[in-house]
Amino acid sequence: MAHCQREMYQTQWEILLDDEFLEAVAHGIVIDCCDGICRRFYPRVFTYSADYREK
Amino acid sequence: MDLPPVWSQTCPCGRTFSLPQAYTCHKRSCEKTKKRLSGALEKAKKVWRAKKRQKLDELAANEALAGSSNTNTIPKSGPTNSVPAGVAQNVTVSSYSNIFSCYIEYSIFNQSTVSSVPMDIDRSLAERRVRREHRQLPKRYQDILPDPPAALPPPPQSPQPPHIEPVVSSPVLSPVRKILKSTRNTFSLFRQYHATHFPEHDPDENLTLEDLMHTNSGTLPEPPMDSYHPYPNRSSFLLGEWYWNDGSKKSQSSFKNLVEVVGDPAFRPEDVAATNWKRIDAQLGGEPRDDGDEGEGSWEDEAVDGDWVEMSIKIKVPFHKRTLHPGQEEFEAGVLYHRKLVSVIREKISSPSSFPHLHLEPFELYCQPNGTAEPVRVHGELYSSTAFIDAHRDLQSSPKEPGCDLPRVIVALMFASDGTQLTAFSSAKLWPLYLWIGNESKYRRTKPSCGAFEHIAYFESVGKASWLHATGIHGFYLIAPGLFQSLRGRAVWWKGTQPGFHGTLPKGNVSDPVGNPP
Repeated sequence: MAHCQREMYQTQWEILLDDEFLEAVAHGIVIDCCDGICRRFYPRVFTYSADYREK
Repeated sequence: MDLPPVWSQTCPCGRTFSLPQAYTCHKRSCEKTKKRLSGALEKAKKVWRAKKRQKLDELAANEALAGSSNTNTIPKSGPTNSVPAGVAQNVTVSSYSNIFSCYIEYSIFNQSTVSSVPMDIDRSLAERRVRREHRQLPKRYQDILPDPPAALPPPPQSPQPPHIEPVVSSPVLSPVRKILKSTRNTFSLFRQYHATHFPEHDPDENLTLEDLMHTNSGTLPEPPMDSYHPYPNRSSFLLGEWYWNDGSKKSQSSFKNLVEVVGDPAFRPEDVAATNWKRIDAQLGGEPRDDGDEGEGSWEDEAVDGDWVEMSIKIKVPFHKRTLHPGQEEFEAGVLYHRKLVSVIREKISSPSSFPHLHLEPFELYCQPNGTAEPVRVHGELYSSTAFIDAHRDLQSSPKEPGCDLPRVIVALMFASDGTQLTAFSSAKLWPLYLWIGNESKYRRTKPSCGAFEHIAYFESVGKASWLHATGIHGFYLIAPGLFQSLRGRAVWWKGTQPGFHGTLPKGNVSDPVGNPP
């Protein structure tokens, strides 16, 4: 059961952190900002606060 | 030999006291003192009356002589001061001065205030008291207003103390980047950037006092203009009031009340005839007023609901070698409702409502009060944290994308997830995943009205469906909870868990290995 919970949880995170996101982390995404300047944004995960879900 | 007493007082009645307590005690009961006191008060009253009469006479004279130049000086000088001053002197020289201290204060007070403001004579003492203007509250009650950081970049033309000037410091990573310091604000806080130049995009420069303070901006909803709401007029209201509040049974008194309502001269039958009673009753029952303020309470992100996607969750479950089909088997354990992270970030950054508040470059925040040599690092925001600064520095020093000269910016993602009980009496639960952008100030992130966080996903959990470990049949079956309620299902489950029960039950009885959650 614990195994299933863990698998379940990690599979869902795998879906969330999809290839598109990984590509963005590595190479950035170009976004036209509201101030008229084009910038390349690199997402970085800084915090994740959660319960220990896999238990 | 007796030493002369340190303190002594002689009462008007002739007795001498060496202890203040004894004298005070005697003063309360001494007949002679009382008589003298009342006499003095009587005298004072007389003087006061005479003075008042004189004032009134002077006022009348002033009015009569209005326009002449010297009238204004009269009440201030000679006559005003002469009478009470003389009396006051009389009193002060008398031997029982301490008894009459109250009277003296009284006369002096009147001398000063009354003579300077002759018009105050008819007002009470309390009203005539001179009050201090611009009185300051005690320090503990004084509120210090928040202050945004000093503007960027510091104006170079204004003369500044040397340590506040933008300084080019020697220990830099690359030749072009340098340490840039902003000016200090009222709290002696300044920002220190590690960049080639100050950022052009400064979210703090447009901060107003309202952004910095948590003011009670939520004004109370305005009361309806018509006081009979939801009834359109008085006649309808009275009739409706009778209908709802006058008891559920017909009675003589109730009928009388009805007749009173209908027989009122202000009752207009045409008002009642046009009333939509059904709608009013619905409104009384709690339905909101249909004045057309729909959309006010609607969610801001309703328009983007379209970017939610479903994805089936497939997990691999291993079965040990004593089961019928050992090895790994893939199960579809549910559907994950989520939004694509990249599209959320894209939407967040390009949105005109949130972009002006994003800090694109990290900085170190320092506090250096006047007179201190070393500035102290101030921690508070993610965009002034070491982690962010390190990430930013690593990004800037990493090789650029080929053919791309755009400024590179870190987007700090902050995730949070927590189980949420949906109802009080059932086990309905959600497990949402939220996302904040750390480039935004925590003061905005914590305000629900800013809508700073995004829903990313709703996690599924295995507990939603019941897992059944039917060792003899297949190993693992995912059984719909409804199955447990049927006797047959329970029997299957029971048999399946019995030791020594191996594979005699046909598969069909257990229902198919469920991939679909209920």
